[in-house]
Amino acid sequence: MRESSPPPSSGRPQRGAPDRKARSGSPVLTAAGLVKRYGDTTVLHDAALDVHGGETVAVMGPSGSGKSTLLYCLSGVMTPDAGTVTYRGERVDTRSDGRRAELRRTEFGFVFQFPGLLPELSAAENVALPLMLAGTDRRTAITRASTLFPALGLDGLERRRPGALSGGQAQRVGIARALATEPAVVFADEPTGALDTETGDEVMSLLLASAVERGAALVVVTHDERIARRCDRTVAVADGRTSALERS
Amino acid sequence: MRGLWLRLLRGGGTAARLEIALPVAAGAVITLVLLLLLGLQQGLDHRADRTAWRTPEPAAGEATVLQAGHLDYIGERPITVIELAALTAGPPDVPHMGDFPDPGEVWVSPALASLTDELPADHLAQRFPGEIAAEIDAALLESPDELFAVVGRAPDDPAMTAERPSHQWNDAASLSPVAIDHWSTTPDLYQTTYRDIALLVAVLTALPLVGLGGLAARLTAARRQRRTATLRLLGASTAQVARLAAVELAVLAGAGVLLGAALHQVLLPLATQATIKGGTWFQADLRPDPWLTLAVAAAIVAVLIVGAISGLLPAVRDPLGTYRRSRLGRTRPRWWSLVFIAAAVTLFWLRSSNPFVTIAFTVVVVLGWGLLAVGPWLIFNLGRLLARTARSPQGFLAGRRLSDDPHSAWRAVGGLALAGFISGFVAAGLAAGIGNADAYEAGTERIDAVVTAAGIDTAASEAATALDAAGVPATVAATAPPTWLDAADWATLAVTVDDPGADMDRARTVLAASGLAGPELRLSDDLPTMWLLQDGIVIGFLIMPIAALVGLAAMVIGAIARVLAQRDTLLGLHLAGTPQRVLLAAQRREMLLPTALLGGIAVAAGLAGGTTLGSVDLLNPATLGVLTGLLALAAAAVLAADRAVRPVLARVSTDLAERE
Ligand SMILES: Nc1ncnc2c1ncn2[C@@H]1O[C@H](COP(=O)(O)OP(=O)(O)O)[C@@H](O)[C@H]1O
Ligand SMILES: [Mg+2]
Repeated sequence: MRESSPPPSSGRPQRGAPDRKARSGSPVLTAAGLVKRYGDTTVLHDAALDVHGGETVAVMGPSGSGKSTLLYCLSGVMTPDAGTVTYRGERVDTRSDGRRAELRRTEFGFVFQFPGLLPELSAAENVALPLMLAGTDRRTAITRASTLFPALGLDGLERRRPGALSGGQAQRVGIARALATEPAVVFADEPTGALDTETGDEVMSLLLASAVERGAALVVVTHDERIARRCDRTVAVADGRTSALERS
Repeated sequence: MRGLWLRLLRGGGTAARLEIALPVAAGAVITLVLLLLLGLQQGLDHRADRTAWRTPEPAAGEATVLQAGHLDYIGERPITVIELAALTAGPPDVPHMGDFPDPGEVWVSPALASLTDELPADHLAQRFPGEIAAEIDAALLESPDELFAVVGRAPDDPAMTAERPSHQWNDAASLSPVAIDHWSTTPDLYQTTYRDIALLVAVLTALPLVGLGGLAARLTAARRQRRTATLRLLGASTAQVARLAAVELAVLAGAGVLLGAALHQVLLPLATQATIKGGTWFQADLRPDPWLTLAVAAAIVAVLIVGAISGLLPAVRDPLGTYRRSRLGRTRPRWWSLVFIAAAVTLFWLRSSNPFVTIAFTVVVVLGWGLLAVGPWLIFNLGRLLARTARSPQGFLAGRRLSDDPHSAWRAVGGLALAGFISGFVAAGLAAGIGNADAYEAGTERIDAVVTAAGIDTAASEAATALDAAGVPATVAATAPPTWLDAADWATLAVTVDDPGADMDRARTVLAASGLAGPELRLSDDLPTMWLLQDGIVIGFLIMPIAALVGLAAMVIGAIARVLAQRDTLLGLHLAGTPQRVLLAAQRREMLLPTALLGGIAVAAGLAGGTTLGSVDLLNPATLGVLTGLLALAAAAVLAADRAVRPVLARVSTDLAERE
């Protein structure tokens, strides 16, 4: 895990900066006025984010600014203390734990900073896990999971255990798992934070490409300016507030 | 979802094999021991019911029968004798016999019949006032090998009119003739006391079983928790993860329970041969009712499942916190256990017939289960103290890790602490019992028959003459009656036989034949205490190995489980340059200090509990022997845990592939 990270080097946050890509229709996921506290410390003050179908959004900001917390609130892992999160017109933040779990299972994919694979299962089984949780039987799930492997450069690793994978491979398995249920939105929280630059680039490219290819929207936390530039737009998080970032 | 748990189990490698084996083994052992204990409870209940009619209740209406009784002895085995005389022309049949003995008729149990055939007539047969007319039905016997006789007499027989001395608690030892109009169904105090003691034993035994169950359900709690957290983050519903854990444990524990029940079937014939309260068992007595067996099996599986699921709750509620370990395990004494303790004590007070056993039970439940409730809390505070006062890095690490996860440390050392509690109890109780054994030994060469104070002089001279005539060399003396009898009414005819090995029973037969056989109340006092000691040793040696095994296994498995649970920390410490030596030393301290603290408290509590059975000087060979054994066990456990953990620690803290 990288403790310190370079601050976003270019551009000053500006409200209302024009987006690079013209978007039509209403966003799939909307968050507004998010407030999240851990005990006495308020981590998110007034965070907001709209995600349109199929777009890629980079989230940047210094370490500890609340990026992960924002992603957790958006994906229903956490509930904000105030504000709203709406997915396709349905409030996420006020839903029961069970319904939020269902959303995570069927509509969202999540790539964590750590691979978070179950060591007991093979790579293919790990990828098949969300499908099984959603009710697909084991055989079908594994077959479908295996089809994701070639595109992610994981050919031949289906039967490997996570313990026998390199960091980059494990993270790509994590990406495959996030894509397995063909989610509408994929969240990735510093997915390459634990990888060396070269591997990280490779993994990030694969993540972007496969999300775009499947028409999934992608919200990715990154410290890498180059990655951010490849996304449709960038959102900066500073002191728990979000703002669009103008590109240089 | 289907088959996922199986896949997870099969994929888990060595750790998962333990994950499979332990619930199965625990289910089997718990089932076996519980069924044996239930059988003991039921068997003693049945014994009490079958013998209830022997201690008569005075007639409320018109009396039909005169009933008296006493305990005779052959060597050091009692013969229960019930004497009956009809007061009406058509007396009621003796239960299960379909008949009433005529005057001079003797009915005997099968064991007594064969013993009468075996022994020379002047040892046994001549004591009976008539011919053996029938064999007594098994439904009237306490145990299959019981020596039991029913003697028919005339209502004006002196034996049926004279008042007899009574025993202080063992009624059957000497029953004065009572006019009755029904057969009593109230069990005798001696029988119910035994049943109560068996319940006490059950509670003592349940302690290590609970430890074993907890270990089985929670052995890989950290692993399962981690897995649950991941599944929850991926969107698994609460029901899905709960079902996963429940199915897994239901199948494993279910297999264990089946195994245990099968083992019980196999061992039952052996168990019937275990002599308790001086007799072996009818198999039907020891085999619990099928429904009860089923209920026990279901309860064991349910408890193991609940244990496992409750361990998963934090991961279900806060998967993220579990994953990142941001949530601290809070540790308070488990106050709900007070309710349980209070319920157990109340139930026992309601059921129990003997105040001494009730007090012992209360002390055991409060101390033993109390220990179980406050154990983790004690370890938490020990860890805090240790971390705050530590000067070396290993001391600091050990302290922090103890206070960070006291529950897993408790699971490792708790089994040993409970073994300590039981050993303390047995050590003190055993010493009390052995004190009685000495008194018993001193009295085995003398017949102490209690007769009336008025008749003692005649009795003494007649006895001397009769013994002389029969050619039994013996000395006859008149001594004071047992302490609970009034010396104005009663006296003891003490017959010391020159060659007790050969002549003891001849002397008894001579006294009986000459109508001088007062009840041997001292023997009826001493022998049951001896049995209690023997049974205590039998049961103690049944429980203690279980407790010791659980303690040892808990220590080794618990230590390994702790290392596996803290693999990230250890890996981190290693990467940060902490030498293996320091990690090992910290690990050793984590085991040793709580063992010493909780073990000390547990032994003290056990000794306190044991002394409720009889006060003793604790500096005696028996107590010290048991405690030395315990110390050796603890040392062996700590050493074994140290050995077992070494390679795991090395692997976990160095091998990056071990991370998840
Ligand atoms: N469980 C928690 N309890 C208390 N504080 C937390 C917790 N999780 C995160 N924080 C704090 O919240 C702030 C934001 O955390 P996070 O969202 O992880 O930041 P980022 O991902 O931008 O680095 C940090 O200062 C962190 O210390
Ligand atoms: Mg973060």
